[in-house]
Amino acid sequence: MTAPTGPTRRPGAGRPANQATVLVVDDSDSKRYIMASWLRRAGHAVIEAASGREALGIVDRGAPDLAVLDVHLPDMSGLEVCARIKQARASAGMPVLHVSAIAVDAADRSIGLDGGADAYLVDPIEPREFLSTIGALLRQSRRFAEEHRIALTLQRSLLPAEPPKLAGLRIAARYHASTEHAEIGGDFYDAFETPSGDGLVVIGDVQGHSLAAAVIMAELRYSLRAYAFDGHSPAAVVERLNRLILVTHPESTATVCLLAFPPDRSRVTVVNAGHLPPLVVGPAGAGFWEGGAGVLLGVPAPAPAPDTVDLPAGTRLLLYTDGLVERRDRPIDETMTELAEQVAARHGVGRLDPAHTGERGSAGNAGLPGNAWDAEARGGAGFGGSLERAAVALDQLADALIDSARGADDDVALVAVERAPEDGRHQDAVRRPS
Amino acid sequence: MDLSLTTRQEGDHTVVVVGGEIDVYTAPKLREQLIDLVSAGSYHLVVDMEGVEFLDSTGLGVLVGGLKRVRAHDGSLRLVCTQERILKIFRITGLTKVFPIHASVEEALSASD
Repeated sequence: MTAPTGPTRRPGAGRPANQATVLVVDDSDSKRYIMASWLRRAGHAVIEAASGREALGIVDRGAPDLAVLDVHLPDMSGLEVCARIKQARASAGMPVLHVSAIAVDAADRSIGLDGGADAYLVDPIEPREFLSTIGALLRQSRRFAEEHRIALTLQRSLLPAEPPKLAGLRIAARYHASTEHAEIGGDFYDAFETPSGDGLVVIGDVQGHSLAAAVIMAELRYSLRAYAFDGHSPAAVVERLNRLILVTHPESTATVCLLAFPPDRSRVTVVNAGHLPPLVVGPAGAGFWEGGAGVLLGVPAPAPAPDTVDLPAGTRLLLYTDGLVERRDRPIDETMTELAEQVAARHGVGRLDPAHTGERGSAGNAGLPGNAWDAEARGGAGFGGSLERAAVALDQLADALIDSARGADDDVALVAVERAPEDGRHQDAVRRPS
Repeated sequence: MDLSLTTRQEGDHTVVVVGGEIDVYTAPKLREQLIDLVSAGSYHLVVDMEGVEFLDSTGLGVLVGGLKRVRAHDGSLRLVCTQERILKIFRITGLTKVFPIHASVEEALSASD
């Protein structure tokens, strides 16, 4: 496991716990000098800037631990500088202390604090209060960074350390943590075999971004394993998970999508509690499988009705979390369509029209991209090559998809599954669609 | 981007008009608003989502939490939404089966009992 990196690593990270790198922004040379000397005498490292633009440039190159920001700057208002700092995800967690040389009233201070500043001091500023305020802000932000680091470590330790291995299936799993200050996701995945030889591949997402979300994620993942090991069907597993979360975490919701493969892997069953639909890739195209879908966990509602389809060798299924398709500035159906197009293109097939994906939650194969397995639709050619080549391609697919999600707000988990090419033993068991 | 919230009384119902982005940062504000309303005895809520530009899983969780709270008082929580990008999220999460979703506040109010 690699050590988490990101927002907890700052220029001042190597300094003693109560010392930091502080950016001081003031156009008055004398005021800047005074504040910088107070800070240096207290052991802090100081970066100075005389204008808003200069300050934003410094923050862009790597956020210091804290910024002291004059409200009245010559080129732009300190409020505007603060707003930009708090909007940029890399610096959103950096505390900002507003200082004003001009006497301001309570309303002005409120505007500053509402605009995202963490504290506000007005001249005459006492050195002791100034340093105490900075100390308090640093303590706060370090506690926050520490929680982030713990949650990230915990989350990673809760995901399978090794790529999951299941007989008859190829699996490539990836997890990309958002490096943002405030963002810890409850994303998880798992893949395991039950004592009866069924293969289970799971993806889920607990609402919220906190240590609590990571802990709930762990509870769900291990409870799911326990229910499945006890021999419960996928739908019964999901029903029990819902009962569990309703009682133990009544304020939380989570989505989970479960794929179950019988010992010969000839079929696949989906039970999907409010999660994004799996993307299925067959010789004739790539499309979303909207079968087996129901309400997310954390709501008193019946468990989803499972949907089962035949699974010819070479068929691929992609499970993913919302970080892969959720973008603030774009509707999710657009980004989902793009995902299907991207995946289809990587397999040399087309995207299956949503019209082929059938009605949600309907019985039988109706929820499946209808012609995904119809090899004749593209002249009988499949996308599979030799075993070795297919394996590499599956990893490359997972890498390419997780790369496309870097820079997203959220964390992303994804699992790509392929039914391994026939070894001859199970060939007769596969029922080809007519 | 921020979240805007306004409330008004329509007979027995409280209409909550939500605008902007409901995400991990702003959802606590909506949660507090819904808790305050229920604490003050408003058990029949209509949440107007027509001005919502972005909704993430934390925002969904807050709406689900609000629904549980009003249901504990035999109340109701109806949504007003015609935006496809938001409706799609309710469909994926199955919440279209949980929340009554209406095309207008008027429709939500007249559908209520």
